[in-house]
Amino acid sequence: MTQTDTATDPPMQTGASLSGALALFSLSLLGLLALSQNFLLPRFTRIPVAGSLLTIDELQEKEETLAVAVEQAESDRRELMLPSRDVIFQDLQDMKLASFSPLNLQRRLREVAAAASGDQPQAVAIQNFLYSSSGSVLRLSGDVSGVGARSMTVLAGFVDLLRAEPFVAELEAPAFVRQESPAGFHSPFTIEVRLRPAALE
Amino acid sequence: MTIPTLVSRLWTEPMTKCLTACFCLIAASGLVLSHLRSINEVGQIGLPAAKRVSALEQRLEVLRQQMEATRAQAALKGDAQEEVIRQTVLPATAELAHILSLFDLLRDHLTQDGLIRSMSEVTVGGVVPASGQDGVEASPISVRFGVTRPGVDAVLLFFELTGFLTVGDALSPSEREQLLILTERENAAGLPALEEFLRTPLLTYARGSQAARDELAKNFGSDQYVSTLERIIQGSRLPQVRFLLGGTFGVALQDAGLWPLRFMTVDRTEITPREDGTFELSLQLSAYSRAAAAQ
Repeated sequence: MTQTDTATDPPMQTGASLSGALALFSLSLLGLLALSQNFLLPRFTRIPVAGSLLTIDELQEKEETLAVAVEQAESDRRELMLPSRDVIFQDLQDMKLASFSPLNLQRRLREVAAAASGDQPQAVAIQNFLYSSSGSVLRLSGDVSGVGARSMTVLAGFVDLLRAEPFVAELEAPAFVRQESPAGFHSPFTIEVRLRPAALE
Repeated sequence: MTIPTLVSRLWTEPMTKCLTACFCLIAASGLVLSHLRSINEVGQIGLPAAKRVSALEQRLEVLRQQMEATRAQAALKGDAQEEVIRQTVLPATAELAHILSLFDLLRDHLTQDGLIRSMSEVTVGGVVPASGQDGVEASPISVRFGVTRPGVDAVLLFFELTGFLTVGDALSPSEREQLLILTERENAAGLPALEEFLRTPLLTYARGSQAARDELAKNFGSDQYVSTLERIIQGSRLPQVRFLLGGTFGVALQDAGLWPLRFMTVDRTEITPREDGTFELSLQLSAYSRAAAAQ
């Protein structure tokens, strides 16, 4: 069959004109959608915020900027809650607040000792408390008594409780010994603790 | 065959037209999906973000207004506190007489209260530049006390309060933050009342703590506010401040011109029990003054 024959064949002619129409339609559809994507969609997907229309990207950027500004303003306001003072004094105050309070520290240690003592009050007795702010080092010595043969177990419980305290950065465990005296079994201890800065208020 | 001829030939081919149509339809469906995604993002991301942005803008505006009001209030009150700090808390010289008067008064009053049994001599070392603090000098001080158990707490509290002027100073940053959040939730317009409370001189608070708390609480109606305020205060140093300075000791400090207390830090603390049931409290302190260059 020649080319002339094909062109004059009615079914082939219908197919050719249909494919032409389809190509024209799809091209037009693509063109319209591309126009919409580039010109209409950005216009209709903008969101009004405080009198201006913003795209989603602009909105997210604005949200981030505002969040930072609010955080800064909150920090500034916190500082303004206290009277403004000279820099030297404020630095000293900050240094004092950042260091450990020996008062709170020894109170908390008494609570931990009481918790470790359990049913036997003052089984864990802290006899010597030494705190040095340089290096945040704490040394405790004392004795566990009045709990019979369990003195070492109670001491181990005290060490575990101490180690779990948030202000303890590093703890050098004591030598666990049980000694016998006329009053019964007891376990003397010396514990050295390195404190975590400003973990106790 | 030239290129225009080839294009023209290709375009007239039914197969080419079909392929073009297919390609265009695939691309169009991609664009339709993109449209749907954009419209979906408006609902899912854009509108919630717009709400958050509006809330943040309002919050920023409120904060700015609060800060302006606070600055205006502070400007009206002047710099009286600065002068007090320069004269007594952080003076220009070591002023040993001032420091020793403090120890004398502390010993006398806490001995009367049965908290201190004895006090050693007070050893004051030479003035040295304070480590890590520019423009400040420190005088090292060593002292030992014979104290009861409550006496340990009282003496340590006394040195902890040195350099504190107001209620706000005696609260930790987290306690102040809790009060701020509580007040904002209850009534943001009441923040000036909270500021006023935090600026209350510590000695005034120690003598009339209930009045200061009532003054703050009257700006807020709910029982919940009052009970939470009470809980925060009870968990802070303020009850101990009232215990230590609320009586004759506070009055004596003020009469002797020793309040506000000289700024000191406790560098080393040692507590050792004694046979009589009391404790030996050994302290190494630093009393601060301004270095000549910083004046």
